[in-house]
Amino acid sequence: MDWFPLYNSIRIALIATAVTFFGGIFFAYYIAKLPRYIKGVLDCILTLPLVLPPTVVGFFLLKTIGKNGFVGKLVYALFGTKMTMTWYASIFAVIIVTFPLVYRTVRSSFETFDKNLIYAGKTLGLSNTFIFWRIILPGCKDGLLAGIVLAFARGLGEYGATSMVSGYTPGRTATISTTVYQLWREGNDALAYKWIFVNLAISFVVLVALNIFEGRQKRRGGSGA
Amino acid sequence: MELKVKIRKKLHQFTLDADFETNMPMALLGASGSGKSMTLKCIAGIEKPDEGVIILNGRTLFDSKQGINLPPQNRRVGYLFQNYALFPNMTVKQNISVAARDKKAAERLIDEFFLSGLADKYPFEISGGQQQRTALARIIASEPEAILLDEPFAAIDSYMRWKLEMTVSDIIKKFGGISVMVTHDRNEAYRNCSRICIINEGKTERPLSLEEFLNNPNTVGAAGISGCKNIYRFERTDDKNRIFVPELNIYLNTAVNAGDEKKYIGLRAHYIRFEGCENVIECEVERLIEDVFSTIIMLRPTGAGEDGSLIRMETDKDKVHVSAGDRVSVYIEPKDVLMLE
Repeated sequence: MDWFPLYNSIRIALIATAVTFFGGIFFAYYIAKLPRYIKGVLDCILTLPLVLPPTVVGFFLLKTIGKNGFVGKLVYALFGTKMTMTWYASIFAVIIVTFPLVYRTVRSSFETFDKNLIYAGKTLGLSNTFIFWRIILPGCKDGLLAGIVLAFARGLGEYGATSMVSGYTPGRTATISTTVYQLWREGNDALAYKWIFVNLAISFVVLVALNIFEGRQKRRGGSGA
Repeated sequence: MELKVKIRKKLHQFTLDADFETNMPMALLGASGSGKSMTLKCIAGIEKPDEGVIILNGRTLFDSKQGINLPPQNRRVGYLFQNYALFPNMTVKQNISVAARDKKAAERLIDEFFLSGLADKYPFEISGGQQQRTALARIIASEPEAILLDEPFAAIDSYMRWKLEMTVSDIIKKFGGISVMVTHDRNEAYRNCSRICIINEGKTERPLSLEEFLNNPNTVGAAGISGCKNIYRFERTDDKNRIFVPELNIYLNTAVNAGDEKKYIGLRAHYIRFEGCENVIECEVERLIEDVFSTIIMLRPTGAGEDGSLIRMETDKDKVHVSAGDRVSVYIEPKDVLMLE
């Protein structure tokens, strides 16, 4: 059994999750401070990929990074490489599809965070940077972790947009989900079942980890007094 | 050493109009929703007033005309939150040392506030009183010039409150700087502060000394908040020191002349007595209400009939030898008749 699809899926999901993690925090934090009207509009745009079919995301992505797209053209002119049908094109697809999961969970934990802790930090003379990294982020750990785990699990299983921008090339762009589809088309049920089992095992481990961590957070008192 | 506040801020229900100066521990006393906490937040820099000035020890913290609005970090104003706002991810020791300007002082404060045994505990592992001590130690460690206390005892059971009140009172005294305590409890204000500023629907009155607060609250609002239960409109007579109270249908002698701006009188329930020589009021006992250590007697002046107002009298249990339906004479000394705007 060739393990490349597992390795490829995990590296795509890890890189994409890292990007959405910081991006999600950044947007959640700054959008919360904007005037209500702008906030509502931006909120809709950033949440859109959650409800759009992944094929629509894939379509727009191809129009952007494809050989006639704005970004695709620029990259080809600069580096002489095509962006589509590569393994890393999937990273863009997974980032867009998982971004709303991180953004929304992080934002709701920022919103429920006890503002008095922020005010207390300020009146005690602590800098805004210190307050953000040492008080707000640890206080929102629960929400951040839930967002990361959900995004990672979702990213691991992304199919629609991924298959459109990266296609299926064994040993180069194959992921678990595109491999399962390919195996089904070939009628290779035995191998398809093996990959399905791998996928189930990973998802199970991820969700158990999430439950254990949340349980520990609750026992430790969560946000305290 | 002085705190000057003169600010306005439009709120949902009313406009906050706070105007006071103080150089000693002051209580901001008012009903809930009267703008007390908002005033503190404006002083601390957490909220921004629409206009006005805030000056602490000669430093301008806020001045709308000059465009000055110091961030909370530069104001050196400590704030004790109702829920103490201890950082839940830090131990007692970390909570204090993170705010300390002098890290050695943090060690000393932990001892001083009797927190040595708790230094490595997290806030959720210690009691409410211990949390409050930690929060106060943290504020002192940040070396503020003024301390603001937002309903410091509201979250604590009444049997624990007494002990905590003494601790907080000692800390404030030792701190020696300016402090402003927000409370809705007049007894708490009276016990812990030397000045009392009454706030009503967002509007503050001139801060009163404790003596004035008790004997000359000056306005109907202040008298009510200070606990005066009997307030009536009065009419002037030819004699400057004699007034008529229509609701009770009685004449009363007063110690001070009724100024033009005064329209009401206040009679404190404790100052109405069964013995005396002046200002006798003939009444019928309407009902008795037993309190823990005193008895409240509702009296109906006989001259006023069924439409008149009742008088509330409060006295020690052992002095009560009347029961409902009895005719009694009660007295109020002229100096105890409060003249109110």
